[in-house]
Amino acid sequence: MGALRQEAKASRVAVLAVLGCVLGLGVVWFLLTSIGGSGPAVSYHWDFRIVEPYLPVLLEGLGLTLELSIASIALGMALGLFVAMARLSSIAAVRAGTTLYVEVMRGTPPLIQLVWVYYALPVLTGIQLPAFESVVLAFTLNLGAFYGEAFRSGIQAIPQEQVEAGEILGLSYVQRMQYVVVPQAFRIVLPVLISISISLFKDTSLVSFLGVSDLLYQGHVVSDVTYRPLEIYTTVALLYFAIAFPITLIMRRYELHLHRHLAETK
Amino acid sequence: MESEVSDTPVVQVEGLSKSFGKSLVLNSVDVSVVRGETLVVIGPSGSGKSTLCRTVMGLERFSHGKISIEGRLFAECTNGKDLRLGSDHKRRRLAMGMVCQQYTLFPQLSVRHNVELGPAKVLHLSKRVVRERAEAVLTRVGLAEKMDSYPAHISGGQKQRAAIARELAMDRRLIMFDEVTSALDPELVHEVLQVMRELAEAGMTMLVVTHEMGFARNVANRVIFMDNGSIVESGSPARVFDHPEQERTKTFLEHLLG
Repeated sequence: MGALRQEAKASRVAVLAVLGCVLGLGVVWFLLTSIGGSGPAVSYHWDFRIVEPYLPVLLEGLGLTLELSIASIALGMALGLFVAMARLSSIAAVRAGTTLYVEVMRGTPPLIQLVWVYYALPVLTGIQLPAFESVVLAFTLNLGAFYGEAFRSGIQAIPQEQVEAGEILGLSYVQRMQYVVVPQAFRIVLPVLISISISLFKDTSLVSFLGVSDLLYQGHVVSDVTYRPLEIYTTVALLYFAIAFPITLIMRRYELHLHRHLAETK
Repeated sequence: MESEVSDTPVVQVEGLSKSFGKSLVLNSVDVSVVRGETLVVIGPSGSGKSTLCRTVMGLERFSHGKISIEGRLFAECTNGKDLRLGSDHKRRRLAMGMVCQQYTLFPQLSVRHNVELGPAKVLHLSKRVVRERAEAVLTRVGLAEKMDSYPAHISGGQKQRAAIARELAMDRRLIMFDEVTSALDPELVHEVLQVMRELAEAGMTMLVVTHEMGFARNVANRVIFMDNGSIVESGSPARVFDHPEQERTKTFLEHLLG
């Protein structure tokens, strides 16, 4: 249990570090807002006071970013399960087709995928999706490939003897997935799933280039109005961080919880 | 080794052949195990001993032959591809159990839950019966104090005993043991062999693949020597070990026993 206890300790340290950071940022904010307006001979005067009236707008953008992220992650994971099973299929054509899909999604820039789905879908299928649904579709397709690969590697990491033990016991395919494969595969791939999800959360900022009013888009708007891009974009970055970092910490705790019975002690 | 041995074959294998690509892994094997018998299979690696167990269990396909359980057809293949299953296949399949060499227990479940899983989800027994049964079999193999431990926190020998308990909880008519002590540290082997010996003496029908010659000599009713996918020699432990008839058997025993 030594390694796990060190991890638990490390996560406590991390929580303290976060509080320290927040406190530190608060101090910086206070200093800058009280100083703002004058200063030494630099060509840019920091003034975080101007952010305040625009905070609600930025938070609205954050709300949309969160909606986008949650929808894409949920749908992407569901798709990923099917992708993983298709990659492990006994039918060669299914495996090949899925591999092609995965490589295309991994090998092309997400922004192009977004633009492509938004503009090409109506051209190819006659269906015109509203912007929000269109980007969720694009992200879902993209994530399906990444989550699919993660699930696939998790499933393949389980020793064959484990699945056979389930067969020997008489468990059906579904029962084997439920009691043997998924519990173990999930624990193995959770860190990867988290990093894919956090990446997506930040990649949603790409939709701002399509005119979808997410956090970054609102940041552009406010920055144009105030002529203070540094303060605005710094605030935007802090808002992304304020969501991502605590989630990382929570998931790390959850990971430790899942692994509590698994550390070898003999 | 005296225990009640009747004439009814629990499992009967006739003409079992299996190819893996070009090589013949099982070459028309005929073997049967009668009720209460402990049959030990010895042989060099690659001889097909494990494959035999796995094929009878249904974990591997075979190209020719017939497997019967308690006199009724279990599975048969006559043309190299189409497998014909007997009626009530699933119930007959569940009459057989197998303990493998390693990675046998599910790591995210406690020992108790590992043993309860089959009776609960496959045999659909009531919660009370499942719990009592698990406690009974785990006590029988000497793991009464480890029921709520997790596989990562018990020794290799304890893991294998738990795996045996898992099979006992399933009411098996036959349990196969595929080199269950081969991956264990030497000092842990005895406790597992002891449980197996007690099982044999209590009348369980067993097919044991092992390198443990002491066990074979003292516990087996019959020993068969396999090599290159065929049964080369078969007989009582005393006969096979002390008076082997075939050259290959003699060579193998010499290498093994030094």
